[in-house]
Amino acid sequence: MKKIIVSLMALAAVLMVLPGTALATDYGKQKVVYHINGGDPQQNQLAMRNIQNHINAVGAENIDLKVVMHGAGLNLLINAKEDENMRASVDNLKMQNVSFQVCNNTLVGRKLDITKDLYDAKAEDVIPSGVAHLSYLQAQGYTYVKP
Amino acid sequence: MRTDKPSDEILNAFVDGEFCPEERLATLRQISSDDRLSREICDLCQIKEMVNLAYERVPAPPQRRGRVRHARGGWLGPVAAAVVMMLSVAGITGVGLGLQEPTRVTGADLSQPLHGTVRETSRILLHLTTTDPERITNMLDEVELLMGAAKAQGVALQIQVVAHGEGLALLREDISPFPQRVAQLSERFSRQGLSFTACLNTIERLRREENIHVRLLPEAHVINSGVAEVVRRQSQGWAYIQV
Repeated sequence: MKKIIVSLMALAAVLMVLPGTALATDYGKQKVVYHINGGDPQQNQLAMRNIQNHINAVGAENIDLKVVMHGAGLNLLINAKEDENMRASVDNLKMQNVSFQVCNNTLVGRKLDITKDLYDAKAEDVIPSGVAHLSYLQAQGYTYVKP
Repeated sequence: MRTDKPSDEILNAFVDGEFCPEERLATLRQISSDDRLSREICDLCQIKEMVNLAYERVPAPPQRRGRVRHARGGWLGPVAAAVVMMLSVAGITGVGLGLQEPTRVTGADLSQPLHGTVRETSRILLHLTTTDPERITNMLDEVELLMGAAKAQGVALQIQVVAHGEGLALLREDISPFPQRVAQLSERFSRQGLSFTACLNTIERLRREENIHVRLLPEAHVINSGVAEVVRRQSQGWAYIQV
């Protein structure tokens, strides 16, 4: 009797786990670029959540994910200096190897200093042009997502 | 969600532009990896166009049985079909048009190459669906920088702006926020490969639902459907960027 109960429980456990694993293996490896050119803090916070959900679905080890920001999209990192939640989201995603790339045209146009005005941005995060870079990444096989 | 074959619901949501990012991602991945699926989506869009059109009491096309695209729009349909054909054949045999053009477009201010790179797309579709002046200005700035740099460096670069839904405003004579900018950019770069295109579906919808008879800026070209154009261009290897 005990054996039956144990095996039933084991079966139940397997059944509960299976759908999740099936989903994860279905997606395989992914290369994805998220495009952010809007400055609305709420929308950008939602975008961060989209990205986290995306990583959860695919598995951090299976995904190469970049966030390309230009125009008003740079507000994301500007706001992160003040906004604790945004900062936490950025930190969290960076720990999962998400890179945040910023457009040099915008930096120049808006007279922004990457170290002073943006949260945790470095010289290697700067790309010459948002549009050119998005196009370049797509040619490299990255899937484009506009949250 | 399974990745081998998207459901009709998802395909339709995709065609109607109502997907969430996850669905869009999954669908786009499949489309880009599957020629047949690309064509299916293309057909689906055209069918949608036809259905929309059927309810608009368009003057009857010349009596001709058959394919959706013939009924749709004069000579453009067959030509577009031929171009798509050529492109897919070229793609399959590995002599894509892209290879005949110089495909290296380096970064924007373009003094330095992007990551010292490999092949880059020299064809970019900018999908304009917003009226936000900041985004539009930013887009026009980027277009100017990129086209200018490509010209200076003698590399081929095609950029097509597809104005669709609310985004049509940019190309409307009555309300365009930047008519002169559009005119200037067109004058400088249209021969080089910059085009501004307006979605006919949106124009028809405005007439039907809001009784607005749209007049376009002289630089604008009309395309049948913004959505179909977006899908078609991506299946041809164009980079897609939503403004």
